[in-house]
Formats: sequence, structure tokens, C-alpha cells
Amino acid sequence: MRGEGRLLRIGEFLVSLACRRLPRRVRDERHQEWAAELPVILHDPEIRLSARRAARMLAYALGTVRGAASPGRHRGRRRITGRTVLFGAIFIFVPAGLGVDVWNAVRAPEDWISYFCAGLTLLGLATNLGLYLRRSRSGKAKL
Amino acid sequence: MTAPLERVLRAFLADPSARRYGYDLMKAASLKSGTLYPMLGRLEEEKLVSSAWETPRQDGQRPRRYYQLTDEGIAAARLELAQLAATRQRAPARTAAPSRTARPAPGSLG
Repeated sequence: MRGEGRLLRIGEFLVSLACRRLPRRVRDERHQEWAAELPVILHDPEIRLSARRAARMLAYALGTVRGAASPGRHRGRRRITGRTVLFGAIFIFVPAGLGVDVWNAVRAPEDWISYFCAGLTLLGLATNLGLYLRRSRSGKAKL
Repeated sequence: MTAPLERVLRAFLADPSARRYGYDLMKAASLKSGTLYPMLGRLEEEKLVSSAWETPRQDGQRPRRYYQLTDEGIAAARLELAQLAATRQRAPARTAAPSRTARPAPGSLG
């Protein structure tokens, strides 16, 4: 077929793109599997027109991109859940509160309430950080 | 059971001992690769389908990966398809029957 090499390269590029979206442990295997099907589709004896074979090969490669991007266990990215939002909010607002406490302590060094609030905020931040790390290590963090 | 899964299982059961390549299954089940491969992945995780690589070819072509139903998969697929067929047989009878007779009798599981 004319331009077969170029078509195969395009197909392989799309397959590589699809595999980048997969978890590392299955990436190479999937790439081998899908790339091996491309020349088979290009030489499919059941399809007479070479243009149709080329179109089917490209559709196959594009399909792998779509399949790899579909939500589920095979997706490399993590889902955003309520827990993610909660942890995100804690890590944004708690340091901001700490900043305010420190600023208040600088402005009024004699006011003990600023030190108390800053200590409380630090304790909260450390507790949350510890919880987050423990969940991440045990693989239970569903972010 | 989804329609694509049903088609894949039927394609496998047409000849349970045959090696099925991804592209062949796509053609047999009239599915796109983006639908078929995630499904095969799930079936493999559930041990209903096994996969293996063919031996490297002499003509320099890359080895292909083929899929087969496991014994457990064959049994499960046959059962699921039989249940589906039974459900489909019952469904027209239910819709044809008047609504009063479709109501479960007192004391029955319905």
C-alpha cells in the first residue's frame, strides 16, 4: 500500500498517546499489543479497498486513545472526591490562618491569644498532614 | 449485562477453544477498540478471560496477543447468556398481559 509506512507511524503515534494515559505497569504490554494489530488491519484481506483499511487502522488507533481515556481502573489519573476538596481546603485555609496569627503576634507581641491561636493552627495542620501521609502510604487515599 | 459485553461473549462462545485476537473480536462483535479493550481488561481481572502472546513470527511481524475464555469464563458466559435469553422470553409475555394479572398474588415473592 502506498504511504503504508507513514500511516503506520501515525497509528503508532496514536497508540503511544493512548498508552501514556495508562498506568505504568500495563503501558508497555498494551503498546506492544495494539501496535502489533496495526499492520494486520492494514493488510486485512476482508477489506478490499486500501483506503478503507487505512481508515479502519486509524479508527482502531483513535479508539485506543478513547478507551485509555475512559474513566475506570485503567485510567492513570486520580479521581477528585470530596476528600480531595476537604484536604485541599485545609491546606489552603490553615496556613492562611497561621499567617494571620503570626501577623497579629508581630503587631501585638504582648497579646497571648495570637500565640495560642498560632499554636492551635500548627497542631491542626500537623495532625492533618500526618493523617494525609498515613492514608497515602497505606494506599487508602482516594484522591 | 450490556449489549457490547453480550456481543463479546457470543463471539467467544462461537468457538470457545479458538484464539481470539483483539482485532478479530472487534470484527466479530462489531465493537470499537475503545470499547473492547477496557472490557477485555475487566474480564481478565475477573479471571473469566486469559491472554497470551503468540510465538514470534518468522516474517518479522510483531507477535500478537490473543484472548481465550477460561473454563470459569465459559461457564459464566453460558449462564449469563441463558439467563438473558430467559429474561427476553419472559419480557414480551409480561408486557402483553393485562396489568391486573401481572400483579403478584398475595403471599408470593412477586
